[in-house]
Amino acid sequence: MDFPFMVQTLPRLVAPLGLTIGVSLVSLLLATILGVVLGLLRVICPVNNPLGWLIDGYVELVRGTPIIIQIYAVHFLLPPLLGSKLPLFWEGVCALTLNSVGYQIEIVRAAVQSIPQGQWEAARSIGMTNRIILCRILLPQAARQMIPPLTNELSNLVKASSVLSVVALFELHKAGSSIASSSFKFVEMLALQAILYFALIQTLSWGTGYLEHHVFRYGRKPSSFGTEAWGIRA
Amino acid sequence: MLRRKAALTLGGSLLALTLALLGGGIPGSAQTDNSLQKVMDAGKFTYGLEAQYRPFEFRDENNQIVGYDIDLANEIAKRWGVKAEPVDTDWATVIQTLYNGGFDLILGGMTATEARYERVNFSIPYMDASSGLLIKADSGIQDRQDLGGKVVAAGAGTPSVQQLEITAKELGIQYNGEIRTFDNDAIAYEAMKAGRIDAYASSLVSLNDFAQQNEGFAVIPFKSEQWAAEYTTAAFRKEDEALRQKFNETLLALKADGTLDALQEKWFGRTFGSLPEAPPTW
Amino acid sequence: MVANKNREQDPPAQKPSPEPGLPWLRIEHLHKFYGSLAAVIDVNLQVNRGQQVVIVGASGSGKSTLLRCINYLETPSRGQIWLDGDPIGQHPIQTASGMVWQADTPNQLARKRRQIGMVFQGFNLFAHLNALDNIAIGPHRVLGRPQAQCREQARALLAKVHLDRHADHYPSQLSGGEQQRVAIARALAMDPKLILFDEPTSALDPRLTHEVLQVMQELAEEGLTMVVVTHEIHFARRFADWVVYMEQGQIVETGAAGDVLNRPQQAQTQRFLSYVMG
Repeated sequence: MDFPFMVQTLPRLVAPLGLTIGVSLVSLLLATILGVVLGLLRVICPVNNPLGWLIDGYVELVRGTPIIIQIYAVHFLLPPLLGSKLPLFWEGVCALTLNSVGYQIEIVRAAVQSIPQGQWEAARSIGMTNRIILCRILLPQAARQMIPPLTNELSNLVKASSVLSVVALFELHKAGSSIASSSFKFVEMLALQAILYFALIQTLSWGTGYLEHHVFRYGRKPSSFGTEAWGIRA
Repeated sequence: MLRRKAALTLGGSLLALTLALLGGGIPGSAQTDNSLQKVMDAGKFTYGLEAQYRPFEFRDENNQIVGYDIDLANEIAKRWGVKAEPVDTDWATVIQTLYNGGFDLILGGMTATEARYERVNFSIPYMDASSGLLIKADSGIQDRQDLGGKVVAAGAGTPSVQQLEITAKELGIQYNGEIRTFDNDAIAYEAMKAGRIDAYASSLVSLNDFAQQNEGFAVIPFKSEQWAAEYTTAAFRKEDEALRQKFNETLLALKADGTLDALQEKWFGRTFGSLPEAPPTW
Repeated sequence: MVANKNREQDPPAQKPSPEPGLPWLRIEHLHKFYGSLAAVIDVNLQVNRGQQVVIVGASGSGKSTLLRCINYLETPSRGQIWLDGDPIGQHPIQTASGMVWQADTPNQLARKRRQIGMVFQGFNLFAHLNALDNIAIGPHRVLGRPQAQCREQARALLAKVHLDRHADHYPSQLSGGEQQRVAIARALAMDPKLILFDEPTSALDPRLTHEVLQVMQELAEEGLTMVVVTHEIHFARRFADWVVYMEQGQIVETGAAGDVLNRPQQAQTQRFLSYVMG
């Protein structure tokens, strides 16, 4: 392996790496918002309600088709639907978001359903409406439960973003392939990509681990550092 | 159980809808051809390519797309008084993306073939697209006959795959296993370095480019009476006749005044003088 | 209908006297079925304002289910519940063909539940909130009062349950007895007309049990209306005005605490008491 070449090529991968980070994080953010809304709707949705079927159907669709097909679908479907084409970055965000929402609905559902029934009952017994229970009791507690699976989802998203190379978004994998084909250093570029993806995912995991242990740490030490720390007031 | 079934049905319907939209996503032929006018109004044209095909188009040290096609596009744009903008795209879906409005034309080292002609119209040829075979210099392969018993490969979806099939039939030889296909040349080169394949069929010029930069490889011509001569052309939506006419006129002018020769000399080290002056049709 | 309590250290004058007329809580013909299983069968019960009623019975006798039906955590299969003249879980509407009963919407039910506090066997404090906010969140979010005011009130309630120094503690940092006292304060914060206690000390050891019973005793002395399901017979004897004995979903015997617990009339009650008293 040509290590000097790898080092020398690194600067060319900085901007594409930024694109990979950007597209993954923006998608995660949007997908989390949508996933929370749809996941909660799914939880409070009565049995045999068409909305529940719709959400379940969406989840099955996303889980049952490969991401590359989903990316092509967004790439080729969206322009005729919108009547104009989005910048590639936003097309990528769209595809990854639609994919991730499918998984996050299930993450939110599992997290909310893991909260003991007693929390519901206690909240009901002081006259809370479903909306207040969801927003003030269940979601704040579910948020902490959701961090490990969301970390998982983030690393999936980062890796899935490499498939956006098929629609020619100049992210890390596309850039790596381009450089490989012009320099004929295929193995070197694969290794370099692997290192960068690995480092990126490790860094992001560390960040979410920090969130889990330092921000959502109710009940660790007695202090006034409580609900306000994450923007939810009693 | 019921819910799961309903969900599955729904998922299936959504999938079907998606497929239907995908199929119907291509606009029908335009009523009036304002393709040229649109370019002139916009002051630029965009062209689709995949920047992983030396020396036609590839990324330089600053990740800028450079190559023969880029120089050619800029030359044409200059004569029209507009700008030319390359769009790096996935080659496997380049024609779909063209119809999807991803760019105005394809200028990406595309070989004119009958299958592609069903979807697009071609410009007059601007480069020879004859095939070649990449081999290890010490492999002892001299011509097509020597491919018997060897592991052979070609780029997925390229004419070279058919040419390898025809060769086997024509000469009555058998390869070692199926014909391998690769998504792009770089992966095939790597497979060759690792000794996984003995011969790789692709366009002569790109193979030459590789062999010049990497020791221990050689390129031999891959020719037969059984297939027609091949040329590199630009490709246009079927309805964009005005744009294609204008493009052809300019290309002829570039040939006449020696500009095209100079570009070929720059990127391929030699000129290809005897290109036909009519677009390939079938 | 319900005998008055007679306790020497508790001058009756300080207790709000039971209002004449309708009882405060009225349960009529309440049934609860789970499929073919009858958990509660035709229960009729009346509780006056300011009274403490204790429901005793073996496990599975339906006493907890009855309690949970009162605030509609379980929807009764049949029967009606009235609190201070207000029907719980349903409301009458005027139609062309006369008055009919209609089930409350979730939001109507939520509004009615504000008046009924509940204390659970498992405490069920909100795990993400400290003690103070566990108490303050109800008045703040449900009643829409300013947060500062709610926290002020919560502090006073914490003092009342002898936990003034634990305001910042999260549930996981409190003992069971402390958690249960916070839970009582949480119920009190809504200023309810009635508090239901569902085996409030069953999960606690004797020392912690004592803390909780102490607080309940103090609340009783202030005249809070309470319905308590418990196994603490000794406590019931001291605490209750009125005792209900249930078996197999039905009320077997009711009466003043001293009568039912010291001189049970029914053979089933006698058997149960001899068993639990040893």
